[in-house]
Amino acid sequence: MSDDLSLDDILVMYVQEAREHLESIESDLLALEREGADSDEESINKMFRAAHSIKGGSGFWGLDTIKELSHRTENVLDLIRKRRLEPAPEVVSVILKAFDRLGELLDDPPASNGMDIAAEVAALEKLTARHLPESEKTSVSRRVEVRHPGVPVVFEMTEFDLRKAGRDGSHLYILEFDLLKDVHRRGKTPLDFVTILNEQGSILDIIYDLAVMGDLESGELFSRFPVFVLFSTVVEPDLIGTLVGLEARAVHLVGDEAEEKKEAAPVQEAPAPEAAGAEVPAGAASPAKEQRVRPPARSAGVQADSLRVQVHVLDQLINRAGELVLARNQLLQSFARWDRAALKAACQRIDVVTSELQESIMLTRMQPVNNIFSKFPRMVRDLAQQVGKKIDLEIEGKEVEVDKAIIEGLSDPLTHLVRNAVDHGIELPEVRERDGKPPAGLIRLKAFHESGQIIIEISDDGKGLDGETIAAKALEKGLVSADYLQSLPTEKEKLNLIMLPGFSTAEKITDISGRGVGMDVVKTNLDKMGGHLELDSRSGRGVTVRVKLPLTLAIIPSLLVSASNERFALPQIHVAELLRIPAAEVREKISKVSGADVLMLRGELLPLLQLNNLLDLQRIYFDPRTGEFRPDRRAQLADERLSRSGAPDREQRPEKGAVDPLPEDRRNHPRSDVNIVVLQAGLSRYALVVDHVHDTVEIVVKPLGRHLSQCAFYAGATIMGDGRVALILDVPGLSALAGLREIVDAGQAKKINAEQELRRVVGIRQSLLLFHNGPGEYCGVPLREVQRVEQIMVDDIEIRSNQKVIRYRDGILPVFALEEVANVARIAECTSLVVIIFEIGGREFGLLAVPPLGVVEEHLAIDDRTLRQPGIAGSAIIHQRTTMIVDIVEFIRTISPAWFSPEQALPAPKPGGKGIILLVEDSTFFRTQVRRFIEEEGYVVLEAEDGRAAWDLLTADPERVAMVVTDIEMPGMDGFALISRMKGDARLAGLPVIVLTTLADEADVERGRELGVTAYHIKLDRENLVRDITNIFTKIG
Amino acid sequence: MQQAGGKSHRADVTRRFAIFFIDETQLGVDIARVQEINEEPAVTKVPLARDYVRGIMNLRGQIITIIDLRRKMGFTGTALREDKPGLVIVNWNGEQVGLLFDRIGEVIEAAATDIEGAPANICGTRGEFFQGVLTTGKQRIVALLDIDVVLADG
Repeated sequence: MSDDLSLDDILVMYVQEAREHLESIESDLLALEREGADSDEESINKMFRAAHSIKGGSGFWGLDTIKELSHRTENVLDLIRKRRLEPAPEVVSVILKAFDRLGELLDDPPASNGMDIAAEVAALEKLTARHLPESEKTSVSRRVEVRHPGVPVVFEMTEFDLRKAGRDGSHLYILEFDLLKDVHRRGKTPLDFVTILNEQGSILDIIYDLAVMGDLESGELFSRFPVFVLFSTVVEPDLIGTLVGLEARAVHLVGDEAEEKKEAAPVQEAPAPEAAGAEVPAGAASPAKEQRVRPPARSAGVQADSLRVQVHVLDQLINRAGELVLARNQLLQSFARWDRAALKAACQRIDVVTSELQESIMLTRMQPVNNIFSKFPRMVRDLAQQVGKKIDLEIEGKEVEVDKAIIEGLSDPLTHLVRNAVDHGIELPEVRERDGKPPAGLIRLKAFHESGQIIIEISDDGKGLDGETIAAKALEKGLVSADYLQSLPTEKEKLNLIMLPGFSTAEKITDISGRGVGMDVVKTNLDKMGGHLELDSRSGRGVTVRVKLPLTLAIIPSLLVSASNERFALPQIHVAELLRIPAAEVREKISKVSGADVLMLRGELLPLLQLNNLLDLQRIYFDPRTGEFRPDRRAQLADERLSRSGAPDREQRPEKGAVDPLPEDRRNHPRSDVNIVVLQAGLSRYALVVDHVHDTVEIVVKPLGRHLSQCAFYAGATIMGDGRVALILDVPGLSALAGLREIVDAGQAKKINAEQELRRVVGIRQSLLLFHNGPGEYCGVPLREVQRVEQIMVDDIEIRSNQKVIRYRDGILPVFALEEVANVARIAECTSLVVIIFEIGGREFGLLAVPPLGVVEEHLAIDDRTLRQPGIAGSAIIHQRTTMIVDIVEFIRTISPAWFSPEQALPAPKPGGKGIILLVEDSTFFRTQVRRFIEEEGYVVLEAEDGRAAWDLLTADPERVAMVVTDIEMPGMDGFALISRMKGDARLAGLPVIVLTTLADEADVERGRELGVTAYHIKLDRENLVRDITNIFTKIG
Repeated sequence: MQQAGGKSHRADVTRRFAIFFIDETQLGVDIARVQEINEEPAVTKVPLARDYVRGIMNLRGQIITIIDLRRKMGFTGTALREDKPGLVIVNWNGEQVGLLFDRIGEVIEAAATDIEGAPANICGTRGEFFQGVLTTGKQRIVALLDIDVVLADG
């Protein structure tokens, strides 16, 4: 039946789909080989499904060879999926070859049935048979027949497949479809139908009954096109018809398989399994190879030089074509009327539209660079195996889009460069080990945009190139003169000699990279595309080759914004989100920390930059009264804006829940809303205030001239629809311009993350008293330290000898404002205030606060970096607001050190180190805090990060430490383990131990008591901890 | 490897120069370096660029940097006249760059022998900006710009 096949559209679709499946399979297989038994189940399933759906479709067009091969492959993948076969390299090799062959078969489907797949099938069969018990091994090749009384056709399959189909409670059905009635007239394609079936179970075989179709030549219209599908599924007989859309009489359940099958004569093309090994021998493969070389006669139709175009690009193209037609109509009309003004307008329109159209057409040519990159994992694997090297390949930036022409031209040069790296760059494993490198070499392929250019880097960590050797060789080959070498001092220039025509560094020309084709060819090829090649190498450290490609075609999706009436493009890839803060909420969402604006975004503090400030543009605002844009003089968004009199216009400040602000106030006008783009580039994340956010557009990146090279905050420029130019902002460059503290060091970032994670998990359950200080400043102080809270009127505050005091009980109480110590805003001027009363060091004082007050009790993740300053321990996010946590002890110590007079201070550490306290705590935050508490009392603190470190310190010098303060939950050796070890060591058993914990769990306390823990404290309960330490030291004397 | 294009001073060669003005100073640019002369470009400002960069413009799909020659060369005197600046697009290191002058003059032809060495200082600018000085029949003095030096970064 294959003779009647024609390449209709649906076949083309099938082939394309099959190709898509094949595309990803290679990388999945390589991953499978790498990860072995640990490999991701989903990726195995994916491969299995790929083979499965190739098989499913092939049945429809009678592509028996494809069906056979995909089926055998599926069997092997199924075994891997069920963990009955290890994906060892030789297994993967067989599967890879099978998929390769499938790809070749799919190149020319009509001819595929005549192609030889014996070698591949034999190898696959051998793999399938491998895990079977001896008695069943033959089932892989033994053929049986499957029939049903109501069905005029007989299916034939291997016994192994039949058995497999009946496993796991599956039923075997023969489904009778009519391609005309059940498929075509329902507006489906055979492919849809295959998809539906594949969702419900698996198609084992498909047979057409051509006999009933009649004869085309007789001119009779045939009315039926029956297809019989052998189908295995777990779906029960009463449901199956509904699910696949068939009447009950078209569904035949194949009963007990034993009855239905009978031995069939061995099929003549069944290969002798013993003849072929798991690795296909070279001899067996060669006839097939010859067949492959044969020019594909009809493949052009299927392989068609087709191009994938994104729908939105196509839409754009259609829109622009529509515009062009409109403009043409305008032109014709104005020409008829000879209206010069209209003619001019129409011409301009056509000018613009034509440019746009051209740009859109260019877009259709953009293809991901992965189209080339995807072949490298396999290539590197095979080459590395050939030369006995171990090589890992890392690929980055495969989504970067490049013009199709460049992709095509890039393929050969890149292949050559990668081959070079494998062949000449990476050393043999034993050589690498001898040089102290990991045995597996690394080749890295990376594509990215840089200042409007596309850069592709191929780097390896191999033996590198030596400028001297290259220069000497160039001289030896007569490529350069001796004089020339004397005049060429730099290493880089010497390296570049490698690109001279006729140069090859390989000691011998190998099959892999040499073939007499050198770097000069690579360079020539790249030159043709306007590309540029750079080489960088350090002897022994590997080679990096940078290919720079023309930028004119580089297209990136971007967000258009404007600031001060200038338009800028922000690469979409860096845009995390867009925010619009209503004018009335600016005060709540944007606060000022140490003089800089910060944005509160769902509990995250982001540095807030203003584009016009950064770029030194005149800021403007919209004045609703005049409808004009006017220069804005505020320095920062969170700044208090001055009224005419120069005093803060408190009257107009919208208090929360207060009356609606006057609608004509421009500051609350919608045009004064703040537009924010949250940007993310690497580890740096920040918010950028812009005047307006426009569209997202695909822009063509054009490089800036060299006179702008120092402006690293521009990534290039682009030409807008109106012909004007807009600058493209470089997101990392912009943050560098702003001098944002970037967490560049990845190691540090990791540490911080780990710490934050730890804090998130451990947290600290604390009760905080919440209050306000300056406008929009939220503060909290540990409730434990608070004595009382008194409500006062502003007038109650008196000044006595330069000290604010209030009358309190029978005496006076000194009161302080937070701003007296910490760099915070001035306390808001309200008529009624709150005084929070503390007692520290035996003395009472008050802290002025602005109501409303609140209390929160929860696990707090305290950030001790961002806002840390004297009097402020750090910040935490409470009710989605950044809240400064006041360290009241430090506060009062700073403001009134005299209160802590020497006689009140605690015993100083004794000379000879007897007063040393060992602090064991894994969290840096707590360790720093507690250490500070203790040190401020005059003790010397020794730190250990966990029990193990503490134990080492203690045993190294048992006499040194006088007391241990330890956390319980720590990685490695925890607090309890440490304490029990100490108790078991005579030298350390007597040491007093204070346990710090986040949660005083009764069981823990009990356990600690049994171990002889001296005292138990909640972390950061400073007063009690210090008191206990003092008591213990007094006791020790 | 090969000799970089040095300045040729062979006597029998006549060279053509396009003349431009900054204030009343006549500046000559080798016509071979001039790609085209434009007027009234739609300039996009480039914030924080060097002060002599007037901005960038779109020249048939290429982005061109526009250099304010007065500032670049350090001409003393008043700012660029706003009426009708002349924009000259020149080729520089494979890039097209726009140079802003006050006014555009004509094209003159001169024998290489007519070119004399440049004085150390012309109108307050550095002598190395010039390849030489040309005195024409009408007693006019034209200072011949060395575009490569003028446009050097910095």
